[in-house]
Amino acid sequence: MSMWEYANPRQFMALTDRVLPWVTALTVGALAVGLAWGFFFTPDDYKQGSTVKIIFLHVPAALMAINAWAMMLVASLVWLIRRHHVSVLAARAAGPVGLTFTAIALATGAIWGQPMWGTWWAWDPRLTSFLILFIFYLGYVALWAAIDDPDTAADLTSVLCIMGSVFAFLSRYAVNFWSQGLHQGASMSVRREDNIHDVFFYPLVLCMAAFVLLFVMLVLLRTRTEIRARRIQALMARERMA
Amino acid sequence: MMPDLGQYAGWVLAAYGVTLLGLGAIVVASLVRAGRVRRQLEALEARRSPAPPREVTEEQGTEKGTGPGHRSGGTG
Repeated sequence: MSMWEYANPRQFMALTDRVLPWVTALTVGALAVGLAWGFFFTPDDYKQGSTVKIIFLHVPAALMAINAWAMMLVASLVWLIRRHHVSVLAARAAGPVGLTFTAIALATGAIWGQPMWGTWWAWDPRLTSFLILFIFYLGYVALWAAIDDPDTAADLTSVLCIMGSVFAFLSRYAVNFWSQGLHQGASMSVRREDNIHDVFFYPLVLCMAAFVLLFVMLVLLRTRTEIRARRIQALMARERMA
Repeated sequence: MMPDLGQYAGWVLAAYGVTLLGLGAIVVASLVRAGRVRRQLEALEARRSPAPPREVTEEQGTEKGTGPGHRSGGTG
């Protein structure tokens, strides 16, 4: 079976009917265990004290803010090239979820920054590109709501998504391009010696997996809702014509 | 049960509070909208589905001159 078969709304609904309960159960389990492990069972950091526990929220949220935009980019490109409605509806579904993750990353970053850096905010390359990404998310969600014709809205939001991808990319790699800035580099690396200590590493990986699962669960649920909403529009249009 | 968060307790709890609030809001909003849209679609589709044909008994068919098995000259 080809992946493109799920561009058919009926096939997509049938698949997600079976998959969604499992994804939901995994999400709840991973979130509960990950957050509890990070909050209750990790020690204080010698420099940051108990604020290190914010890492289990901030890093997964920031990761998903960028990855959600990446998923929206791929889905938007599929729409622009192949005109598959399920794809662009999935991008639309992901927008508010990514916006929420970005807001959480910005808020927890500010809360963490105040006691550690002595400031809520700095015009650091990574923080600034993240704020611009947040504004792009707002624009994306607003543009969908502002345009009546769904195909026109899909086209314009897809182009906006491509443009915003620059800032998603910069958010991730800004520290590599600019040496100045307050925000530290990556907490995790493929090189073991560059990673944070294991006592923080394992619960952090679990929290990141939990946030990924939460994103998948919400996008599947919301895409199903968008498909149903589209069907309602089509049925009502048919009633008006009859 | 509660770990000793020391002088940073307020900051840590604020961060967890904001996160749980944000995640809770998007989950609840998604579920509420999903339920509302599903019910609306079900109502629309129920309105569109034709009613099943009414079963006509032999008596009704004979009396009113309609229904299967009726012949104008009586049954036979």
